[in-house]
Amino acid sequence: MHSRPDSQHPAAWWVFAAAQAIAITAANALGFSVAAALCAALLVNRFAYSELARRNFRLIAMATLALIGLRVIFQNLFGYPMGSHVILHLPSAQLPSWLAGIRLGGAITSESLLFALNDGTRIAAIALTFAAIASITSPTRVLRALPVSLHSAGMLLVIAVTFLPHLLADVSRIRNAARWRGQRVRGLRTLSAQLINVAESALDRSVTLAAALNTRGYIQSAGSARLRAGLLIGSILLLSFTTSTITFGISPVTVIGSGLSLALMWMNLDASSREATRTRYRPDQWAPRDTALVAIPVAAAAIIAADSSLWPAAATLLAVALAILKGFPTRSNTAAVTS
Amino acid sequence: MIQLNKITFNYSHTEVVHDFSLSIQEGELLLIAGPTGSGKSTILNVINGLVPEFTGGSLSGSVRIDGVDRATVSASEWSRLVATVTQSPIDGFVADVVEDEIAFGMETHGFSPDAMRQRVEEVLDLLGLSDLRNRHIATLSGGQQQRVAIAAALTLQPRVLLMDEPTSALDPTAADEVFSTVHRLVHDLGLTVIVAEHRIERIIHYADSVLLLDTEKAPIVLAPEVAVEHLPTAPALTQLARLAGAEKSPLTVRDARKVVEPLRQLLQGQTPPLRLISTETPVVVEVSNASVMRDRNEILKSVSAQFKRGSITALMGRNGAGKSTLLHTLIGDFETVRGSAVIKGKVASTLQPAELVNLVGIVPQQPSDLFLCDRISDECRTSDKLRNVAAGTTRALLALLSPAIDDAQHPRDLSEGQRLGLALAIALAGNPPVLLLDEPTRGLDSAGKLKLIEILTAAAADGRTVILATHDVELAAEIADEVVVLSEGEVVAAGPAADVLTASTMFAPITTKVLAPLRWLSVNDVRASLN
Repeated sequence: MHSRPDSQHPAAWWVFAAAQAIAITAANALGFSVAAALCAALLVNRFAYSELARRNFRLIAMATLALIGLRVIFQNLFGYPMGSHVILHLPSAQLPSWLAGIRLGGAITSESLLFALNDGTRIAAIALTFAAIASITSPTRVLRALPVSLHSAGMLLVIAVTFLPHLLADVSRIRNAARWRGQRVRGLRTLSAQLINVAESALDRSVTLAAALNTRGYIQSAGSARLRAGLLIGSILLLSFTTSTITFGISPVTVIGSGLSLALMWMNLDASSREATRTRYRPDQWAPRDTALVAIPVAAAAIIAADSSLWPAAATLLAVALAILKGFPTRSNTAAVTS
Repeated sequence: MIQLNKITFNYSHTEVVHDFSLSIQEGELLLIAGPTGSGKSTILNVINGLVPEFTGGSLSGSVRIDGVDRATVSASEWSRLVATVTQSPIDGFVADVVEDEIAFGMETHGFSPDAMRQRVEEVLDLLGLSDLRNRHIATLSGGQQQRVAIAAALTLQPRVLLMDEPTSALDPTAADEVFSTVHRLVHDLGLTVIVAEHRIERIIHYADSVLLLDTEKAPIVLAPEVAVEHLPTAPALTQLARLAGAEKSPLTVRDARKVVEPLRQLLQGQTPPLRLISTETPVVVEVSNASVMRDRNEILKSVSAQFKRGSITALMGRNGAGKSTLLHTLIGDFETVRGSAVIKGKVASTLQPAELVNLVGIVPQQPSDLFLCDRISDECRTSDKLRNVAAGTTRALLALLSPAIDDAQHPRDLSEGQRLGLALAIALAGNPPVLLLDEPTRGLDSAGKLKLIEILTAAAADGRTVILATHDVELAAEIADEVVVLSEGEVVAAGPAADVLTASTMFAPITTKVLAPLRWLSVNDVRASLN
């Protein structure tokens, strides 16, 4: 009812990213990773919801390149070489015996080089895929897709996310002001005075926002909000701890921990839904085109998992690329046209 | 509709409001006028319930809207009776798209999807926003953003709309866009509106009555025609009518034109003072063909301008036209991709902070950005040190610009006008040949503005080059020698103020509008030539 006909569901984008990540991991092939990274860049170029989101993606892209470089350097300078095709001999240092397993310098083989490159690129491609989706789905739209009971927690996150660009603008404004006073931009005393100024304007901004929310009827009892925030943070911490223990195998700790964190989340949802009287204006609804978007990488992942053949997977990625060039209509797109 | 009964408000041992009562009829538009610190915002916040629940302090007395007492309903219910629009709505927005922002209040109150859809469409039409419904709010102009804020406020169908200096960040055209919309709402919907505003000439002709606040005198409600006679600084229209010997004060330019005929005859044959800067005056600051890029957009396009010794230049244009960008480029905060910005023969972007400070005094849009210390006395001492001037120079200047400031005070506790005074003292301490100001009259009351005019005129008379970015047409008409008008990053008009301002429809000051076709810029010019 009243859904907007011209928008892709934000959840579709996130499922797309998850499936794409699985496909990249399963394929474990340099060419496929590079293709997926290019696909992510194409998506951002076409669908980023704001210029800032585009810039953030560029920053992450730069960071992932550095990550690949580091991976290659560490593998070849400190790890033992694989294979036998030596390209280069570096002078090596004799390390004490308690540092067994680590070497410094020595032979660099093409196998080692390729392995590190492939590994680094795979991680980079996954990071880029998620970064791309974060640049495409604006946080406020993701918030609209959350269940009503999660709304207040989501609202906090959205406010925090939109706060960041303001804060960056404040920082550059205040750094300029220090230059105008004739101060060196560096130095401890200058820094502390600047921090106070930045904190002051951030505080002003949040008080203004809080007052605006207040006069618009967004009023909650502080006690219940605190309880819910505590429950949410607790459950997330517990869940991340227990999932990290999975790497050592499934143990009683994992089972009990996950169970506890799920119980905490349920309590949180329950506490929220008892208060929630919110409704939602023109929510995004799952449309056939969302299923199509999700189907492509899911199919790719399934094909690779089944017989690890890359050609059909590459074909599906090509399909994504074609679809992008043809253009899914999105809201940010139509907004750009009318502006 | 609104009844305030014996309101007294105490905040940290000071009485901010004392025994204040007010009664406003339904469908009335009330203007609150008064200097900074006279309690305009406090009264608005008493009505919308932010005082005392949000601000703290103790409040006594009763507030009623439409017969409902504030004390008997919840904050959420109260927010459906009263809506508030503030100075910078962008800080209070929660959604990124116009339509979602407008629906936010209804979502919070749990309206059904059908009702929301219908009401959003109505409000979009009512405020002429339907073409903008899918736009990102950040890409809208200031006037459009303010209209979105009003739309968002109206969806809950409040009985009362409060506006706290809604146009202080807007240019004259955008301000008129906002107030004519409000005027229509008062007529069409029977909405009761209260507006607090410093630039009363923008709204007084729409007001039904005016509440005059003063720190010394008791508050009083007057009819607009009477109120203009009682203001500490009479509006330009009133002053012109007085000069013409008219008995009643006109409230609109149209009415004023009818009564100033005698004045126009007196001025016939007299030439307005031309503040011409001689072509031989040395150029101190120069930008030539400067282009600046940000986020892949060219926000300054081949801008050229010269700023001469002892002249005051106003940079004008719509919100977002590139005024501030040009100021930042002049002092080298932004590098030019083409062209150059040069101060006294030096390329601006290569200046070290220590050099810059001796060449240019800068007053930013938020003067408090400059402050580094906890006490006024330390602030002044730091300023002396950074500029290598004799100890006490800045303090002496501050005493001149803004008397009666306590040394032990925290710079952030100063009033708007005093902050500007301190920023000016810091800027002028090193006796720099150039003075730059970004929107200096924002949030300044009329007394503060008069003081600023005095200071800037004196600075120019001392041989300083003064450059200010402003959308305050009256300020520009009063003091500017030259005007540069920017639009979308390009210079669209530049030249002597008398030529540029009188030729423009958007930037024509009130005096010009009233006395046209005669080309007078300000009441002071008229008065001087009559004597």
